[in-house]
Amino acid sequence: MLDPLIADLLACIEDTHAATNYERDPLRFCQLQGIDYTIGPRSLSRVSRDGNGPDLIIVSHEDYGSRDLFTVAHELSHVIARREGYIRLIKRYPPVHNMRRHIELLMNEGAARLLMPAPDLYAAAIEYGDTPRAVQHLMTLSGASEAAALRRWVRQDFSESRAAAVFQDGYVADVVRWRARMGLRRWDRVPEVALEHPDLMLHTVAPGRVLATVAG
Amino acid sequence: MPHDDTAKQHGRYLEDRRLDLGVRWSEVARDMERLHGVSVSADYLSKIKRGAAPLAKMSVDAREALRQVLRITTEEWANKTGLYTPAAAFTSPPRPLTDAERRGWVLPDDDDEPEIPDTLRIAAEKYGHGDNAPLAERRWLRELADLDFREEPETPEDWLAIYSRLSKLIDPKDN
Repeated sequence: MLDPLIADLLACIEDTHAATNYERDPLRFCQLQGIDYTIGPRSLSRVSRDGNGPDLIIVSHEDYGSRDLFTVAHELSHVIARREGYIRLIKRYPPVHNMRRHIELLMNEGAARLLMPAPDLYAAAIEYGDTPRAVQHLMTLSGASEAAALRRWVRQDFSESRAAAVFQDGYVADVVRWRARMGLRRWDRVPEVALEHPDLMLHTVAPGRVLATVAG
Repeated sequence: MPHDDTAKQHGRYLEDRRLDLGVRWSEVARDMERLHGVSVSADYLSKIKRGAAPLAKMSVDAREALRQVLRITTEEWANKTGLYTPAAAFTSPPRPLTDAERRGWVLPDDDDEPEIPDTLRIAAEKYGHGDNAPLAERRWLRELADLDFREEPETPEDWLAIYSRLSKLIDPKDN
């Protein structure tokens, strides 16, 4: 069961995106949301207080490239969460050991929703079901990294059980779980994954690199 | 309808509304005071809820504050309670509701003064003069300390670089 406040925050981010017809271009999305977007020395966001200057996203030069989309989406999540009152609520209500890290992780969840919105997941599910190819399809649709697509696919519905992993040359390179059992840890050696884990659905994405999923 | 029944009916209606919003009576009482300057205790609101204290006996100002905090329209209030509210005497909150409020959350007061990181203080002392004098001003320290960073600035020079960029884009006010 997801915390109701967090569920509302993520729903708010998704609704904001849906209201733009799931705009994929970060620049256009910022325009539609009235957010200034520019390049600077470090990735950051700010939200106007009492009309005190614009809402603003700055993205660092280093974040250009494959991670750029996720970084912008992360900063967009910050702006939406602040604008809509969620940061004030999150800072007050749940007792969290490291609030800054907690908020950053939540913004990553929000970013994943902006980058890979529900229609993408639906399209991937229709085309490939709960298989590793669905994760690949998400990457193709959104331009997201493998790591981001893996996490979005696994946590697409918090009431369902899913897990996914990436194997590289017989080692576990990445693993993500949500309510599902997958007896693997990062850097575990698994030379014969098909034999050792017959419950996993496997798909070779490159020589020596295998994507695995399990659902339900 | 006997007075007791009316009071209980009003109480049930207000309780349903409170539950819909997902707030506690203590939060309702707090917002009545904070937003409308009407001081009532959570105990008194609880009596209203149970019908032990009639809503009709509540002062008009308090009733109106309660209506607004529970976000009940004047039309609905009139239909459900039949009680008079001088809505025109109160000004609505000037800002639109946030998404969180529309989903029933009650926002806490604005954050306190953000904590100024040590490296930012050092940056203000070291570089906050000449052309960069605003860096040492309270309005800029607040602005910089309140930013959301993917990776926190680690050195005074990081803060100076951020200030240099931001100062071309915004001019924070001293609230």
